[in-house]
Amino acid sequence: MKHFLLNQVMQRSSEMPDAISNDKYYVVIAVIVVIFAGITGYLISLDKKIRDLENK
Amino acid sequence: MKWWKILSIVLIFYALVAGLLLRVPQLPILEQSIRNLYYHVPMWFGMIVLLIASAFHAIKTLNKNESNSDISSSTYASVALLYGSIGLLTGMLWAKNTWGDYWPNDPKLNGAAIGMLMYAAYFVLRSSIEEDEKKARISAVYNLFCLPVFIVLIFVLPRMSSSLHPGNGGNPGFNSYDLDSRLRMVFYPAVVGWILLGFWIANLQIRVKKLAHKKYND
Repeated sequence: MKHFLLNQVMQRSSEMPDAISNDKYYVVIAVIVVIFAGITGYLISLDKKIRDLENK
Repeated sequence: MKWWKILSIVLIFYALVAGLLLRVPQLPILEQSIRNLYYHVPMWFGMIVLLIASAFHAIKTLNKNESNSDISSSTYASVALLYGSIGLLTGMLWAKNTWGDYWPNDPKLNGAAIGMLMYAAYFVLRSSIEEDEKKARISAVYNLFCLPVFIVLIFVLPRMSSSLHPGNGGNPGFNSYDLDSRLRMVFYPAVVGWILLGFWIANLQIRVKKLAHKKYND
């Protein structure tokens, strides 16, 4: 069973559809990065606002 | 800003990008969806670590009788519930596309659902007690009761019957995937990053609540 799986894995990785090399795959990654950048930016500003309140 | 908050941002950015870019082992049924390991699983790791933090502060509440540790305890539990809800939703999507059903009859799923309901009851219990000190003590006791039951529900019982999740019942553990160093290289940073982010969110909420508490008591 383990051998079967191993074979399966090795065989498949050689003929793996290369999603990564497709054009425009990077666009999706860029979008995700922008979204998360927005969320972290928001968290950072919230952190700063709370710090200001604490220092008052 | 604290170093661990920056670390959390760096690790999550890395996990988001590397998780989509790096090659993954091709496994039957899972195919490319194995990448969900980097996004779905850290939610549960985060939830469990947050629940442990919550129980830790519950002990502190009982020991020292401080309102501050009650604030921490309940806030960690609420962020843990947020992570758990996201974990359930993402798990349902993943399950639909690999196991064929949004909610297959799996002991791990049912255990997680019961555990989440227990923690939901924690908040119902809290809102039903008006006196602050009493609320802190009773909910701390209930919190300490919940954690071991939750651990049993999601880690012990699924192992005693068969579960679709890896590492349970007759299934191989994550070891069989984890042995692949490509998965490890993204998975571990992702787990640490999302745990730290959970603590950051909780940290913000705790500080706001402490400020409000202070203002109310002045």
